[in-house]
Amino acid sequence: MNFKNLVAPVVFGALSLAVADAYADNTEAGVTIQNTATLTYDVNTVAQTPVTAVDNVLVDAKVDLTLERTDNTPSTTAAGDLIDLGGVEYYVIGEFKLKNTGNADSYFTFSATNNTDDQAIIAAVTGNNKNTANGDSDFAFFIEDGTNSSGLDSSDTALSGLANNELKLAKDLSSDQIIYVVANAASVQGSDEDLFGVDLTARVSAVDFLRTDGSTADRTEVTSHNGTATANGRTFSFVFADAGNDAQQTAADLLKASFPDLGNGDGGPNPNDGNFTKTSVVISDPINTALAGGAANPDAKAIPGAVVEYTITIKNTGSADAGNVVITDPIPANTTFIANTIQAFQADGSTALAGATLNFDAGNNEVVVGLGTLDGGTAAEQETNIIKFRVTID
Amino acid sequence: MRLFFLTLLMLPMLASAQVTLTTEAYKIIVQTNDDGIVSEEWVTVEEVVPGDKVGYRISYENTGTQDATGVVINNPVPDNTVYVANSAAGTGSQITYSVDAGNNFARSAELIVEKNGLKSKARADDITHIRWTLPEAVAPQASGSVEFQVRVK
Repeated sequence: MNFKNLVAPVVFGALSLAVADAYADNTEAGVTIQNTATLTYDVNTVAQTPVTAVDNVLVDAKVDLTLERTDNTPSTTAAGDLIDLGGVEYYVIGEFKLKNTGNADSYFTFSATNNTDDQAIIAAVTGNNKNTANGDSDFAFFIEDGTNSSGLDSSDTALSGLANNELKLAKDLSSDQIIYVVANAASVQGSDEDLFGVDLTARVSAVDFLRTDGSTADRTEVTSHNGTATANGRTFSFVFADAGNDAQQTAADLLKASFPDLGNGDGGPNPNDGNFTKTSVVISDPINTALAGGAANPDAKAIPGAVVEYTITIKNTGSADAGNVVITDPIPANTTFIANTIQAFQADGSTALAGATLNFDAGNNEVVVGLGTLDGGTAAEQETNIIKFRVTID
Repeated sequence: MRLFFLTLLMLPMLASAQVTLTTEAYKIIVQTNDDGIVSEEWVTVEEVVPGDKVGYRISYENTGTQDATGVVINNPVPDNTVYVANSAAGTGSQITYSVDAGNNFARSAELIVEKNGLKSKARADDITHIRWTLPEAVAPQASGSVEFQVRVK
């Protein structure tokens, strides 16, 4: 018989076909793949009993995960990024997304360390490398409760509250699990634009295996790449399919500090190149009286009885507002404060500063000026205030 | 009496030709040597995870005393796997495939599937069954094997 005649072209409908979807493409650890071959034959044209052969392959645990920071925008220390959870204030140092790409429901543990090269984490973000005050022990972990990141808040779960400090994630997560690495706010100490980087390591510590009856054998600890474990009487292998074949992934993220900067200069030879300076001018002496409107007489000298005006200039060159700014200035020895001469101005030195509190503390013989909030931010937003007061040389 | 005769005739036939069948699974390791030549090695299954290629070798042997004719080996593509294109092989066999759970078989070039009202050539992952048909008889003591590969979903 010509074989070609045996097989007629046919058009097959796809009605009974299961369409493979993405979720099916990750056969669960513990499933048995059964191959059944059947052979039929004749002897002298008489059909014989079919012969069947079966082979079973057990699907092992593929351990795999992806971990990366959610975006390239560093978190900040701005007021809105300070999180109060259970009475403790935290800054979010890193925000990461974790996915279980293995074929078993898996348990993840986390560890975090200060990154020693913060500048390298996100290329476009520059600043000074900085570590948290108490080192790696400052870090804690929170698990976003929603499937999408809505930011760390009180509804999210502290990893420390979970059994074994482990997060269980189902295989084939439809979306990433957001993990927050936080540090105690008190440990985030530094200057404006300092960088606090963190390396987060997520590790698969254990997996669930599917039993033949469809139930799961819970939490079998992973051993090693190509190592084995026994669960429910069956021996499984672990295949660490992640980069590095070590069942763990590390990713880095960082916080860029946005603090006010009222610091006085760069520490160089000129003390007056900074944000907080003080100058003086002799307005008058007993011989050379002040000019019209109280302006300084250029001939006036610093002799006993002369009036001296001090000018204090303060500017916030930081990226964050400074709140409750108070300037305290003791009256110099051999001078006497002239009552009611304290004035506070905006940057132009002539427009009075609304809301400033101008006080002389007679007990401590010092000028105390409250400026309230001194704005920081962009160069245009950075606020300058000027304080003036006068003394008489004794 | 006539019935008795027929029975006598058939009984020895059933006993005289006995074909045995075995199927063994292998893990297929793809290796690239220094010259960039890719080769596949069939190794004993130790661990299998999604994405791995598994090869099945199905061996038959006629342990009887008469020719086995019309030998057909049917093998559904196992659950949780997809057939690897062009992987079915078998010396001296004609290979056909089914894309409809074994109801109809055709050669690969003639496999058509209908999805969303559109007919198109079947792809490897549409294949549900593989069939090897041996046009020649398998003589007593003769043996052979056929094979195919799947990828674990």
